Amino acid sequence: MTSIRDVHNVWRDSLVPASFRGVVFHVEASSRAGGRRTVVHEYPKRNAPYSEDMGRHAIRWNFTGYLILGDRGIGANLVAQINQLNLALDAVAAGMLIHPLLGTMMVMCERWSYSDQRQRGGYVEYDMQFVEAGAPVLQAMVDAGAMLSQNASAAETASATAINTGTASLQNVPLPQPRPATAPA
Amino acid sequence: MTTRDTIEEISAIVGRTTNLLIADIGIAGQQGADLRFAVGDLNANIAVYLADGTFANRLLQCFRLATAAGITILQLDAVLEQLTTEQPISLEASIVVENSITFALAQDGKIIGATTYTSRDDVDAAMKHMKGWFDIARDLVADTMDGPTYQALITLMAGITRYLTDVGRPLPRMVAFQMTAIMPALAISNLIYQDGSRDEEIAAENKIVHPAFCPISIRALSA
Repeated sequence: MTSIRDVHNVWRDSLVPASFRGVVFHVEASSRAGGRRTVVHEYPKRNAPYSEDMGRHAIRWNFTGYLILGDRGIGANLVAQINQLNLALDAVAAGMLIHPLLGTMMVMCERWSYSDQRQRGGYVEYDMQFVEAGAPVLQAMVDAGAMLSQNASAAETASATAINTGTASLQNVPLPQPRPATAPA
Repeated sequence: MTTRDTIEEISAIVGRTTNLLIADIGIAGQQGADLRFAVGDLNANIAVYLADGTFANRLLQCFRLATAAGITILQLDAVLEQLTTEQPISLEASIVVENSITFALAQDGKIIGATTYTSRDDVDAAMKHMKGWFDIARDLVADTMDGPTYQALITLMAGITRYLTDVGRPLPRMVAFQMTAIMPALAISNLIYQDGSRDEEIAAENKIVHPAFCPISIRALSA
């Protein structure tokens, strides 16, 4: 029997399994929210406002995903899949999210919810909200004192090597005899 | 120039340099004794050490021992002044002079790293002072076309600048205060810092003859 996967087009062929921290799930729907952070200044007695640009909003992703019993694609049993995805969503710090169409991004999971229904036995649904991880503004400080000490030692070593190389012509030569004493005038 | 002439030239330069290293080091103390021994040994056997290839490390050891014995940046200035006014004739002597300058600047870096600065003005002064020496040294070493030494010198300069910038950032500045009347240092300390215990600091900074009568215009730390 022909499967839907056998019908090829650019969109279907570019799909990859969605995952978070390496735990795969199916995606029913996904949406992305972005935009500019603005402060709108509205002045008394004036028609034109001024919208001040305060930078980009953090990108947020909403995923409606699911896991299903007897899934031949993901493997393992459903309860194990649920546990793995729950642990991945609750884990500390940012993780890699793979969107089925748009590729990878580093995100934090802000909120997620799990739901199942009696009428849909063996089908569990997840609502997941991710926000882009970004990077801290303040990076870890370098220990400038330790670095200065290293730099000083490196300069000493480089100069000692330079002297050794530069005076190589004086190495392994017979020691000069003392000059004969000159008679006082 | 014969080998003998070259060795004698290097010997004279090293003699002048190391004599300045020990000039202001106190007589007492093990570290001072170690320094004087190392300097005497190097000067007495310089030809032997040049021949066996240990000269560079022995000269470096003299600089390190001087730092351990408590040489100051001002004393190293004298060494740097002497080295930068040397006019060596042989190539070998030129290399010894240029790299001795790097040795001295490396000791400056170590001393700066171990110094406790109390005001940003002190840090700025140190930075300006070192920049002067590094400008001279950079030109000298650049002429030798010795890539690794030049790179190490520039990295050392960057390290000192970075360290001083980091150290200076949280420190208070020295600022001028205009008092309304002649006041005791205790009262001024209380007025500026809400802390009467810093009167001696104010008296010392302004070279006050009697701490009960400070001049109207004084200089003090901003915090």
